[in-house]
Amino acid sequence: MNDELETMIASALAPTDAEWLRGAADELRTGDASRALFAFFAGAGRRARSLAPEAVGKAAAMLESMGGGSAVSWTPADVVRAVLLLAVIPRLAVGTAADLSRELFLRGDNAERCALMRGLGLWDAIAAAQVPVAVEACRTNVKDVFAAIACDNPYPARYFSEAQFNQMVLKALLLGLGLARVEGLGRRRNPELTRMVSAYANERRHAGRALPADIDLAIGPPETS
Amino acid sequence: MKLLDPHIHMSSRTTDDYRNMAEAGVVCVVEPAFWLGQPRTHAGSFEDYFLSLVGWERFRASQFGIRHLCTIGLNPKEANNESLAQDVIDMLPRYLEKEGVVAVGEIGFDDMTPVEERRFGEQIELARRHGLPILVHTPHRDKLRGTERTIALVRECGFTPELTLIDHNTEETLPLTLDAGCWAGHSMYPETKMDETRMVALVKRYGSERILINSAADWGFSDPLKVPKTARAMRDGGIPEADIEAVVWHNPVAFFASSGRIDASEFEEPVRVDQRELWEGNSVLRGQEPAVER
Ligand SMILES: [Zn+2]
Repeated sequence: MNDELETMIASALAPTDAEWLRGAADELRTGDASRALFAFFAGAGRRARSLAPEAVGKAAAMLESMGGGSAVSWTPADVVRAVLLLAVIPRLAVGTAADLSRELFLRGDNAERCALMRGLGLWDAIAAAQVPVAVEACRTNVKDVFAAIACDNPYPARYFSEAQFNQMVLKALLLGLGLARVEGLGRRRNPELTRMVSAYANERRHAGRALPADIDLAIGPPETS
Repeated sequence: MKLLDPHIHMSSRTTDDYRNMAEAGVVCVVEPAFWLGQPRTHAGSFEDYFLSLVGWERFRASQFGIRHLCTIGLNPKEANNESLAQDVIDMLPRYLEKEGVVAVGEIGFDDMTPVEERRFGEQIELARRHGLPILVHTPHRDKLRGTERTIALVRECGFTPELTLIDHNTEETLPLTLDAGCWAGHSMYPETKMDETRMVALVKRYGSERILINSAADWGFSDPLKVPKTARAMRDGGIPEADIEAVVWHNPVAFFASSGRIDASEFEEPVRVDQRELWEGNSVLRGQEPAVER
């Protein structure tokens, strides 16, 4: 699937950008991955401008099926960054991969951080080791970065502890992000979340402020499938 | 008329400034990396500063519909700290690759020491390698000499003058900058550097080609509304609209577009403001109704 994705994306880029992507991916597969990755990852945004829209849609569907963020969430730059990660991550030991993610997150700009979050679930073998960086991303004050992990992304419901998941849902509610976009919310509902969300509803009532329309999605027992 | 402030240190300004600038027609700012008013003690604080320029500050600006771009570089003052300077130079390549980084800067001369000259030259080379133009600070003291040496160094390095913006010009330095084929920035400070009346006279004399103005506002005595105020002064002074628009929009856009990092068509579109993006716990709204533009 990785090769298929890379070939498809490269063929949908302008020739110079395609050449850049092939070269970058080759270097990442063979060379000292981490150092090269930082510059490629940072510069991917402007290379992705030439990516054909149909290719973005196709790639997004593939990435969703591989465990990444849902298809609606991927931007052209995210897709190109995912191709770069797919060339590196599978070669690395779990600990090294987690260190690399942390490095990409800490020294990334907002768009790099978003791309990283959408790809966290792409590698089953190391996915669980990525929880600390995902939780760190939930602490951000930049809305897009928070939304990249909290919304349209199966990762938190699959890997977050109850406390981590609850904090994220409450923050999404506070930001008015739309709880329908929090994947797996129904199945991860729990009594503590119900208590937290009800307390928040009370606080709003006391302040004379309206309740978010979707607040009920976070209240009640877990859905059973 | 859309306005671009091509040199303003927004990290040191408040959200009130962003709001007032947006109201006055500023739709884009370029924030050059500079010093922080006192010397940094380790290279790590440069890195966190660069990261805030491409992260938090960019988001803060977007909340007011203002596009935030930046320049990354080692400033001349701190270039004099030898042990720090090498570490900062070494970390630059990674940051010069980031989106929204549209030039290497502010670089140039402060005390005009040999060390400053060496770091200036090294960063011109980095600009070439990353396909970026350069934003050059000129010194407050001995400005004429500093500008001459800047032009000489750019020439020696074989760097394209059209990719060079020499900033903080005065009546004395402007003709040199223009004759060298470089772009000329003017910092409109409340008391020093340049003022509106003098700027109107300069545009009348030299026209609008390759001329830019900025507020250079920072944590010092400065005014983030100097670009709109100077545009008004130019209008009151009878300067044609096309020339005003060149100075406050087309010239800075053209210069920074030479980085290849600006999508020109997207750049003409306004940034959608959605203040719902603001944070309840950390927001200028605090109970007010958010402004949402559709
Ligand atoms: Zn400055």
